Amino acid sequence: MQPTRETFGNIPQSSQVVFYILTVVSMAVFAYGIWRRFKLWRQGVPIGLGELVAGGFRRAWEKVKPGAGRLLVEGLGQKRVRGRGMAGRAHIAMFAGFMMLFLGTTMLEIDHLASGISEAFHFHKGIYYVIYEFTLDVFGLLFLAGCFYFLWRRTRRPASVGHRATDWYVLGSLITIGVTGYLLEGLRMAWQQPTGLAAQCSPVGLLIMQGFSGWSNADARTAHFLVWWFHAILVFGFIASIPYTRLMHFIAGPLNIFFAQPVLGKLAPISMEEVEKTERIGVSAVTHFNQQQLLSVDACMECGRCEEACPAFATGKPLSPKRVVQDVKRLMTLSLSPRPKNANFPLPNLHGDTIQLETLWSCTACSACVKVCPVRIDPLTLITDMRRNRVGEGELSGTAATALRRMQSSANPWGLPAADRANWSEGLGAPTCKENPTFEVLYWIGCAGSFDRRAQRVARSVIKLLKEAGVNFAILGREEKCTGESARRLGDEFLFQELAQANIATLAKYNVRKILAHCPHCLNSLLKDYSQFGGQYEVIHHTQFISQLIADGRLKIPSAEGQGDAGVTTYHDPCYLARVNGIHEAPRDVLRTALGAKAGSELREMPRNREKTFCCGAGGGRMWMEEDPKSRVSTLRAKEALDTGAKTVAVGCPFCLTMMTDGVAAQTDSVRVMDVAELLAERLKI
Amino acid sequence: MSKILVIAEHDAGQLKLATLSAMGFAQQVCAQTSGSYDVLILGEGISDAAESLRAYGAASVMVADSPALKEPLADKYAFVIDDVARAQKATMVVGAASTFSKDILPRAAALLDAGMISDVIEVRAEGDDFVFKRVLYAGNVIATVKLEGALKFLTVRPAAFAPPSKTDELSPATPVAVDAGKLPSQIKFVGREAKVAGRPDSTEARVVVSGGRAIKNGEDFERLIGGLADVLGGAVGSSRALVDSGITPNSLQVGQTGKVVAPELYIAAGISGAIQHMAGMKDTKVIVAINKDSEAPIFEVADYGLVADVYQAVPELIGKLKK
Amino acid sequence: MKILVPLKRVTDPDTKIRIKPDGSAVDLDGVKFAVNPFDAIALEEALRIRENVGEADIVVVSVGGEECIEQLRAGLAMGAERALLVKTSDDLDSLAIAKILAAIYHREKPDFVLMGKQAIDDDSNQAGQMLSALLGIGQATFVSKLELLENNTKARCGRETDAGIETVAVTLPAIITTDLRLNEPRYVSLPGIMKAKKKPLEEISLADLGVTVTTRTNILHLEPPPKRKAGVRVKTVDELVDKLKNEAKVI
Repeated sequence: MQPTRETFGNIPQSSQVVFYILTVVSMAVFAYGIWRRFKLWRQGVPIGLGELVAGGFRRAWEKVKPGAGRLLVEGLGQKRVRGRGMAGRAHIAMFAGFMMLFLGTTMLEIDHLASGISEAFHFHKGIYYVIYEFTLDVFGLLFLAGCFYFLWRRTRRPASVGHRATDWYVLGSLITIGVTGYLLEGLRMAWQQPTGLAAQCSPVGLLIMQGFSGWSNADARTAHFLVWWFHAILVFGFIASIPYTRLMHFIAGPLNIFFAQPVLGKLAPISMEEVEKTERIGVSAVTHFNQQQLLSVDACMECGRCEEACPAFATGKPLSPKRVVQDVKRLMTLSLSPRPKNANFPLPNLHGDTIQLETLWSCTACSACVKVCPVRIDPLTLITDMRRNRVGEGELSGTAATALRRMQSSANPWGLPAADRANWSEGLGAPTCKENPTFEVLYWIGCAGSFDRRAQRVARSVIKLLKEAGVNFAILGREEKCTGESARRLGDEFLFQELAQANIATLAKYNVRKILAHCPHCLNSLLKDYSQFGGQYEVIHHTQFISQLIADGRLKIPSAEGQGDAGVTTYHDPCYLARVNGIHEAPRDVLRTALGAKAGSELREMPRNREKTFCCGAGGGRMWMEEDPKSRVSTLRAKEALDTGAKTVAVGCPFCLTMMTDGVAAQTDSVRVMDVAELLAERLKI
Repeated sequence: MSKILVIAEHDAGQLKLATLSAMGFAQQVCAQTSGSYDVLILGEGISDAAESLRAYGAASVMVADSPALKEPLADKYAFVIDDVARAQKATMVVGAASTFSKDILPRAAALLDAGMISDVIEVRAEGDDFVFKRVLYAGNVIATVKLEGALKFLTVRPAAFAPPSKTDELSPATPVAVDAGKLPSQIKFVGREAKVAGRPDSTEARVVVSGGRAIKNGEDFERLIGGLADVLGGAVGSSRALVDSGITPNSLQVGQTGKVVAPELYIAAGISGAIQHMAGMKDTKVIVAINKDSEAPIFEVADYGLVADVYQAVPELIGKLKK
Repeated sequence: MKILVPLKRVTDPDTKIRIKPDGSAVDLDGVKFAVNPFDAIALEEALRIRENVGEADIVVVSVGGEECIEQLRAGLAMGAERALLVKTSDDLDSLAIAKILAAIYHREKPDFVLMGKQAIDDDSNQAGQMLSALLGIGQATFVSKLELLENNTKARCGRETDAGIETVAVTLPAIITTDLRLNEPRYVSLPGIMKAKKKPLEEISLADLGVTVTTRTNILHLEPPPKRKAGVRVKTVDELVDKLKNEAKVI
C-alpha cells in the first residue's frame, strides 16, 4: 500500500465547507484581536517604519538584515530561551513541537489544494509521507512533554512567574489539542488500517490504534469524525484566542525581537527643540513611549526571568521589571477600552497611579533584565524614560539631586573643587595632553579616580604599569570633567549633554582617538553616549589594555619569584564591563597573571559571573542614594563573593570597589577588595 | 573719643561668656584710642548678671530690667538700644556674634541709620578711624574693611577677643527706664525648646568628634566619642558603618547621604575615610585622624594623623585634655 | 496674597574661593554662580505656601548687574511669577540693600517678605533685620519652621537660636529670614526653565525707585586664612594635643 493518507479523509464535504468557514471566522477574530493590539501600539511615538523600507531593496535589506538575523537565531533558534534550566528546555521542546506541527499542517493544506488542481501535484505520499508522519509523531511528543512540564510547574506556583486564570485555559487547550491530535491519528489508523511502513511511520498512532482494535470500522469512523471536530474547534478557538491571552507573545515576541534596539547601555538622546515643541521631557503618559516600546509590553509572558535577575527586587525594593512592564501594559490597554463618559472614571496617570517614584529610583541600570528577556523587552529604558520626566518636573530631591547639582557646578558628584581634579597625580610623571601632545592613548581618570582617595590608588597603579611598559599616554588633568554617565541614567539628560559637549570639545582640541578608561561607566558613556554627539573614540578598559601589554611582552612578568599575595581570589564582573560591553576575559587574564602560579592562589568564580554578573548596587545613580542597611545590594553580592572562600575580591570598577569594600567590611575584616590593576602592580612590585 | 556700647547677652539671667569677649574688644579699642565703654543689659530679673558685669572696667553697666523685656524680642530690644545709643551718643555698638546679637543689632542699626559689619576678628585704630578684619565666604576669606559713619554697629567673634582683666573697682550700675507702653509689639514670644542639655548639633558645632567602624558598641561610642566630644564641648558624629550596625542613629551620620558639617576641628576616630564620608566634612578647618591602619585614606586628608588604636588613644586624649 | 522674595547672586557654594594675588578681590575666573542657597530655601517656602493657600503672586527681586538675570530666571524656573532686577553696578552693603528693598516693598506692597538669613559670600546676616526696621514692621529671623495663622495675618515661626528652637508669632506684614532646616529646595526642572523664558522680568534703576544709596563699608583688602600645613603624622597623644593647642589653635 502506498504510504499516504487522504487529507480530510472520512470528513464529509459539508464538514469541510464548515471547516473552511470556521477557519475564516477564527482568523477574523484573530486578526481583529491583533488589530486591536496594533492600535494600542500605534498610539506611541512613531519609530520611522517608513524609513526602514525606503531607499530601494538593497538599502532596505541592509536595514532589515540584523532584525531578520535575530528573528532567525533568537526566534526560531530560541537562543535567548535557554538559561533557565528545565523551563528553558521545556519551552524549546514545546516550541519545536508546535512549529513542526504547524509546518506539517501547512504542508498538508498545500498538498490538499495542489492535489485539487491536479493529481500530479500530490506529494503527501511515499517516502515524504513516511518521514513526515514519523517526524510529526516525534515532535508531537516533544510538544506534549513541554506542555506537561509547564502544567506541572504551574501547579508549583513559582514566585516569579505570572499566574492568570487564562493560563490554565491556554495550557489545557494546548495539551488537549496535542492529545486529541494523537487520538485522531489513532482513530484514523483504526478505520484506514494501514500496513507495513505506512503504519510503522506513525508509532504513537499505531499504539493508540491498538486501543481501538475491537471497534468496527463504522464506529471508528464515527469516533474519528467526532474527535476531528472536537480537535478542530479547539484549534480554531486557540487561534482566535491568541491575541486575548498570553499567547499574544507568538506575534508580539518575534515582532519585538525584530524591532528592538539590540545594544545594551545605550539611551536615546533628546533635543532641546523636542522639549520646546512638546513642552515636556521624557515619558509622563503611555503614549509618550515609542511604538516599539508599546509593542514590547505586549510581548511579555510574565515569565519572571527579569524579576529573578533584578538586584533591586532581590533586596526587597519596590521594583520588579516584570511588574513595570505589566503595569505599563495594563495602562496602555485601558487607554483604548471604551470608557463611560463619566468624570468619576478618569484614566489613571502613569506617574503616581501606575508607577511609583520609589520604583523608578530603585533601579541600578544594571541591564540584567534587558539581557535576560527572551523576547528582548527593555524594562530599563521604560524606567529611564520615566525618570527623565520625573527629574524634569523637579521630582528628584535629596542626596541624588545634590549630586546632580554638584556635577553641574563642579563637574564631579561630590562637589569637590574642579581645580583640584589633577592634584592626585602630582609627582607621578603623568603628563597632561598639553605637556605631551603626541600621546598615543588618553587615560581617562574619571571622578572617582580623581577625587576618591581609594580609587586614586587604582589610577596610580595603572599609571605605574603604563610607565613600566613605556606607553606613550597622557591625561586631561584639570580639563577632564565628569562624563555625566550617572546624570544621564538618573534622568537629567540636559546636564549630561552639557558635560558631554564640554568633554567632546576638549577631546577634539587634543585630537583624541583612543581612550583608556578604568571605569566601565565612563567607558560605556564615552563609547555609546558620546558618539550620539559627535564624539567617536576607540575606548578600551584598563584590563584590556594591560592584558594586551602582557601579551605583547611589554610588561615583564617575573617567573617564580614575586608571586602574587592575593591567595584565593574571586573576580566580581562589573555590570557595565561584562554584561553591557561583553568584556570579561581580559580582566581574568590580567588577574591570573597577577595571581601567578603560587600554591593557594587561584581564581574562583562566583555562581553569577561574566554576563550573568550580579550588580554591586551603585549604578543608575544609586551610588548617591541611601539604602536600608538591612537590604543592601552590595551586602548580597559581597556574601556571594565571600561564600567562594576567597581571601581577595578583585574588581574592575571604582563603583564596585566602593560598594564591595563596604559590603565585605560589614561581614569580615580579613578579606581585601582590590582592583585587578592594583593586584598586578603588587605582583610586579611596582 | 570712642564711646562704645556693649550689648550683653544672657540666658534667663545667666550671663553668657561671649559678652566678655565683646567687652574685651571694647577695652582694646579704648586702649588704642581714648574713650570708654558701657555695657547695656536688657531683660527681667537680671540683677545678678548685671552685677557680674561690673568687675571689668566698664564706665557703667546700664540695666534695663522690665517684665516687657523678659524675652529677647528684636522689636522691643532694638527700640531700647536705639534710645540708649542716642542718649549715650555712642560711636560704636557691639555685641558678641551670636544669634541674639545677629537678630537684634542690625535692626537697631537701621533705626539709627548706622552701618554694620559682622564677625569681626581684629581691630586697629588708624588715625581717627578704625580698620577691622572680618570673616567672609564661610571662613575662607578674611577681609580688611573700613566702616564709615559716626556710629558703627559690630558683632565680634568671641574666640578672637580675650575678656578684659578684672578690676577691683566696680563700675556703677545705672537703671534704664523702660516705658512698656511705648515698646512695639509686632513679635510675640510663644515658647522655647531648649536644646537637649549637652551636645550641640554637628552642623553647628565648632568641634565634631566622629566614630567609625572601629567602635564596637553603643557604650564604647558614648564613652570614647561622646567623652571626647564633651571634653571639647563639641558634637558627635558617625560614619555610615555605625549607623548600619545600629550603634548610632541616622541623625549622627556625617557624609554624602548624611549630614554635611564644617567645624573648626573634626576628629575622625576609627574612620577609614571613604569618599562618601569625606564628602560630609570636606570644609572642616582642621582634620585629625586616629586610626590603627596607617594606609587608611583618611590620613591623606588629615592635617594631623595619629596611627593608633582608638581604644587606647582616645581615652588618653580625653585624660590629657581634661587637665 | 503676594510674597516678595529677594534673591542674591553668589558664587556657587561648592566653588573653591581664590583671591587675586593683589588681594583686591575674589578671583572670579571660571567661577560658577548660583542663587544664594538660603534665598532658594526662602523661595521654596513661598512656593509651598502658594501650594497650600491655592494662589499667591511670588515676585523675585535681585539687585546688581545684568548677570543677575541668570539667577532671576532660575527663580522663575522654580516657580515664581515675576522677576525684578534693580540694575546697578555699585557695590552695596547690607544697609544700602535694605534701603533698596524697602523701596521695592513700597512699590510691590507684598503681604510679607521671605528671604535668606544671610548670603554665603558676605555672611553678614543683616539685610533682613535692617529692612524690617526701615519699614517699621516685625521680623522673624533664622526661621526653620513656618506656619501662617489667623487667616494669614500672623506667622508662627520656629527660630534656630543658640539656646534652642524659639517660637515667636509675628504679625504680618513682616520680614522672615530663612535658615537651613526650613526645607529642601526643589531641583529646577527643564520644563520650568522653558516656561521661565516667557515670564515677565522687569529691569528698573535706582533712579526709577527714587533711591540714592551710599555704601558705608569699604573693603580694603582680602586675604586667605592662615594656610593649612600639609598633613603631619604625630606619634603620640601628647604631640597631638600640643599641635592642636599651639599650632592649629583649635582647642
